[in-house]
Amino acid sequence: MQIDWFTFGAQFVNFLILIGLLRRYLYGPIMDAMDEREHNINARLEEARERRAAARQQVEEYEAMQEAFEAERDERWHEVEEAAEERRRALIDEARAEVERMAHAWRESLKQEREAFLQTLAERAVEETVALARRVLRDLANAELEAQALGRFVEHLAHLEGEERRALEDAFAASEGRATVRSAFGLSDDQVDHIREALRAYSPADLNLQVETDSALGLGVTVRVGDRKAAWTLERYLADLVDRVGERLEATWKRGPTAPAEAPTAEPASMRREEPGG
Amino acid sequence: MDISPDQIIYWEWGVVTLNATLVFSWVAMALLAGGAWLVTRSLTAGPHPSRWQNLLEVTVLNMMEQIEAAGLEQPRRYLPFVGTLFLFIVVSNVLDVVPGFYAPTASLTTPAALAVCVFIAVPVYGMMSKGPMGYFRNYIRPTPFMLPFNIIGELSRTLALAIRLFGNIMSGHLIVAILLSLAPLFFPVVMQAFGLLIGVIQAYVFAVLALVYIASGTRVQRQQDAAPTPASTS
Repeated sequence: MQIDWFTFGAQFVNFLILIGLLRRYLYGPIMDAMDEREHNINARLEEARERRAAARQQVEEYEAMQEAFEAERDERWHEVEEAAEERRRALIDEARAEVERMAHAWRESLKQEREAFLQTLAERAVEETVALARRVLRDLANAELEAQALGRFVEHLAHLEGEERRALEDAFAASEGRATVRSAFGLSDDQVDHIREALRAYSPADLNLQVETDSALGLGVTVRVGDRKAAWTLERYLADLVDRVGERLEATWKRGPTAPAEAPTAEPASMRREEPGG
Repeated sequence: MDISPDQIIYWEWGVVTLNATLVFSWVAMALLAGGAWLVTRSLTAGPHPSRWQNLLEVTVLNMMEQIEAAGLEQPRRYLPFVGTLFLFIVVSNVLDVVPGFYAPTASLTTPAALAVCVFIAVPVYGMMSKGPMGYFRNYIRPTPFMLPFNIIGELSRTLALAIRLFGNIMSGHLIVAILLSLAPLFFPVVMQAFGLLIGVIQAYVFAVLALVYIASGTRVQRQQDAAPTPASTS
């Protein structure tokens, strides 16, 4: 086995040439391409890392926003609940007040109805009582009863005080002692004297007493002096009684239906200016 | 029967002879350089390289991994030399199965030339790493008495490198030729396929051995550099 030294040298050179060729056309371009790809991949990885970091930051921001939103929502919800609770209480209070008001109105109405009923009842009772008394006294009226009434009238005349006394004195002065006594039944002389005796204290002049009988008068006696009239009649007595009872009842109802009512009393006689039809 | 493609001479002028070794070396070189040129004309740095680019990238990457595995820290410095060794030998050996192709490695001249290249490359790379003095100092270590043995070792391993490749490839030819005379059908085909495997393995062995020699030329330096450190356990 021989070595061809020319071939040996040529192969040596060939190999060096091949190294140069491959370095120029293979290793250099391939390595450059791989380096560039690696660089690109690294750049993309870096970009991906940056994007991931940005995305994570955005996620954190959105999470923070969501938490804030939830907190605000809870707060709002709490406020709404409180407002609703407050409104509910207000409505309940309002309804309660309305019910109370209606109940009060109903009680008031009931009370007024009762008072009205009681007042009506009292008035009817008074009216019935007075009517009964009037009928009884009319039925029982006679000379005896009139004598009793006259006695009561004379006693009242004898004890006039204050305003009534002055009025009567003035009336006598103006009429120069003239007076008219009227009764339903005829008066006896004694009775006329009693009246005269009672009136004498008020008349400065001599008494000119005129006695008349008027059956329409019913039970009672009237004395007219000028434009003044002193009387004790059953009609007036009862009318006074009704007026007083009415006043008392009204005063009683104003104070309250449960306040004790005083028993009304009618004055037996009064001095008043003569009224038409009186 | 032609044992060596050196003996197939196409043209001759004085000492200048154009034999099969040279011609088929050029064919292999043309295939390698032309193929690389064709593929690298349209390289892309994008994520979808072409199949051929992918093939070349995988090849280059694996060669660089092998260089790194041998203990060399800068594979790009050694890639052109070692990678070209491997590619030239493997292409020559594999093309051997093509009828009419004579593998240049089947001639002793080509492995010898390649081995001399390695013989030169080892000190060159060594001196590139540490400088001439640093490299040649390795020959007198551990003692100057080891200088002859080191020189003999350097020469003998170069010779062994050349003879190993030549013997394996040439023997493949020889076996096929002998088997053709004994059993002309089928069995030579199996041996041809076996020859492909042997060709690839020998290319790998040649390149890795070159790599190991180069690495030993620099690794010794590093061990010596690290020796003064008392804490070193290597």
